[in-house]
Amino acid sequence: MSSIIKICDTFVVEGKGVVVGGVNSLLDDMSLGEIKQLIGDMVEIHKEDGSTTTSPVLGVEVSTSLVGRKNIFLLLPLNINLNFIKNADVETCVISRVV
Amino acid sequence: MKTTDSRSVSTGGLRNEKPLTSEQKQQVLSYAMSLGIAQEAIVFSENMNTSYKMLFGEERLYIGTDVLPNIKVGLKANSRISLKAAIAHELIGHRDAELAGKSQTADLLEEVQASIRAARFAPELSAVERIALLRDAIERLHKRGISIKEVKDKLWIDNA
Repeated sequence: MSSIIKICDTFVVEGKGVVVGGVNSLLDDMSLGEIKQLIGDMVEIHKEDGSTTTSPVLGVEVSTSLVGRKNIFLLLPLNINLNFIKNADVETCVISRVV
Repeated sequence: MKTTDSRSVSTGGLRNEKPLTSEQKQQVLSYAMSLGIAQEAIVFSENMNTSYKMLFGEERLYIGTDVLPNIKVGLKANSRISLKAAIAHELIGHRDAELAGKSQTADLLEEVQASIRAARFAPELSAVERIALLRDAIERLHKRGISIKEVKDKLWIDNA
């Protein structure tokens, strides 16, 4: 598993999809383009209990802090099973790229 | 306002890593909302880094422990930027530029622009806070061997 982020937040953008956001200090020095390339078109969401779901990636955004640390956000389809990643699971889910 | 919790994000000692107090959170809310962002768009998270972004049409201001400085002698300007100045950097700097379609594509210029805009246009900052923001901009450019004169015309720093 090639981990992209540990999920720290999720929210729905009506009509667009589900945003999942998190951090990964190993990616702090990468550009948005490099991060998009790393993530690719499909990701896996891994729950702590070992269950996994796969999702296409509709979009990627990155924000940067004052000291260069990055928050990474993925837009996933609205029809993704929200129960899988809703707030109760925040911090126990990891998103990884599909190799 | 939303809160997500548990472990603190690491800044490598460059900014504060201790949880914010309720008074500090109230100070964040008060100043951020005075700069025009809705309370619903402000998310306190000890896991994420302080930063603003329009995310797929919905804006978010994440506030992490790093919204507070780490005031140790020898640290760089961006470590010394105060809570209010950090919020101004995010909102007067990044948010206003994004909403005006004036964000920079180059990360360096976007950060430089945000700090200069905050220093020039943010309300209620002290002279010390404005100087820290300007120093941050200059330090970022200096680190890459660039002078402010070389990039001044590319930056959106003349309009509030």
